[in-house]
Amino acid sequence: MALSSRSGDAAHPSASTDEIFPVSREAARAPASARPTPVRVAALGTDVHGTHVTALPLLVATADAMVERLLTFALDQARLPHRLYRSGTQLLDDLMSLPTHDAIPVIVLDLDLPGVDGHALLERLMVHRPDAFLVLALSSHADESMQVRSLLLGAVEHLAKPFNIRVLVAKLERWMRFAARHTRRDATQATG
Amino acid sequence: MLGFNLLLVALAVQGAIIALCLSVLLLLRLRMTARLREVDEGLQHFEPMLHRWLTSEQDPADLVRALRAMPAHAALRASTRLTTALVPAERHPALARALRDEPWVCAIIARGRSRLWWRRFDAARLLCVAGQPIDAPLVTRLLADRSPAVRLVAFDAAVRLGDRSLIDRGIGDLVRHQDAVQAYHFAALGLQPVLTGEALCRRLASPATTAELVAWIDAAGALATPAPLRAARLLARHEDADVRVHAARAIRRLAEPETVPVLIALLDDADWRVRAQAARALGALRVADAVEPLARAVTDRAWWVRYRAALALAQVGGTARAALLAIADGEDALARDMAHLVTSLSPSAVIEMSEV
Repeated sequence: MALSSRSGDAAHPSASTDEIFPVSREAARAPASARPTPVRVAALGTDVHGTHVTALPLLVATADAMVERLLTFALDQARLPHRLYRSGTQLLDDLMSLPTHDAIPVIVLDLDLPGVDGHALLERLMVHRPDAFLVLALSSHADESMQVRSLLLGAVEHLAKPFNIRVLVAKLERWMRFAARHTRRDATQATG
Repeated sequence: MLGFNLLLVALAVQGAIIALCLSVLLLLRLRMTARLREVDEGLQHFEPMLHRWLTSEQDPADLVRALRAMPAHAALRASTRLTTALVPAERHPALARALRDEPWVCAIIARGRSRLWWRRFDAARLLCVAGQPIDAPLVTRLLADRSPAVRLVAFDAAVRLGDRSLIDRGIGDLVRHQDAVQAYHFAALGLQPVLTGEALCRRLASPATTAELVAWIDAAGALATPAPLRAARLLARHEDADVRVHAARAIRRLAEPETVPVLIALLDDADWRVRAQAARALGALRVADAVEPLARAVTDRAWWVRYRAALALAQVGGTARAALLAIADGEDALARDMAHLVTSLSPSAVIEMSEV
């Protein structure tokens, strides 16, 4: 399974979140001063629009250690629990079996992954699990053909490194809200 | 006896020299290890502060203080390594302004006139992070440095300064570089799209050699902003086939109605490379009006033109794909083979092969 799991707030009261993203031992052992400062929100586990963004699965895949640390810090700050992958092979294996009927998982996918690279992974997903995930692609290549390939292969965004982390987190929150609304609407239609 | 004594003396001298060399090597090694440790400690201290700054709207005063507290060499490496990897272009000017007058920054930038290339290299690297308009004369000098490594980094610094004349000069020199170096420079020029676009428009509209035009058209294609691509489109009827090839390739990124007739005309070019690039561009632009000329191009005598035209029809989709299927049942054996090849590709394979 995943190489590590993290939670933005170890004392988060949302049981469902912790079930999906168990708090890592490292995070649990860390002194309170080393943990990220909690961000005040209207209600725990919701964003300003009242959407339960933290209950949605967020997967982060990167083999770039510096980007990984920055993303981890920023997502912890924004209280967006996430699951971290450093290998395309591992991510692809998990995505093929990940249930998506309760929520559309959002994936931050660094294209420069070992094992299966990002574009090959997107291609597999397009064939085997189309529209099952919302993928935000990251790449150190800013050229147009990389961006076009990412978008045509199903990514909803493509950001070139060095990307603006505040913009990325804002986009993530926006896509997670979209995923939550989509899921609720689908569930309503199914039960309606 | 005298010979034996001389031999002993020579042995003793040689032993002393070897011991001295080993000691120097050991000392250098210890010094290098200590410096690397300082760099690691600096990175560990600086990186979390950089994260906090990047995720907030604060000014970078804390970052500046943290770097000031480090040894100069560690501050140089921590700042250059992390900022180039993590700081986006829009946050960079604030950091550069805050750092420029720091004593350690001034000291390292002053080494830009050193006789030792690695000191000039360090200065050029720091200019990429903390360079300001007052550094333009030094950057100009480093752009003409005898060390290629220094010149390469100085180009990045020149673009980040946003100095119009430096960027224009860098674009003028593109023709002297190999493709890999050009690609690096194109990426750097993307940091200043407006100034780069203006300079490219001026260059492309003025008389130049074929090699220069090719380099500037490629730069316009990499930049992918409309103004320089329009200037490149005007060169699609240039007398030199090399220029037409590169113009046809670049304007696949210019999605304007005026581009379509230019590309359709290039499908009848005498040079097969031009015809192939024109077909590729029509596919990239998904021009539904080009189905007929593209279908004709699938019967071209050149394999690459048939290949690009068939891929373009697959990219356009709809009636174009129907035209491709009709060719697959047609009488022209070569066209039929190509249509079979491309219609058997998955949609994602068409995307991959069209973009490569």
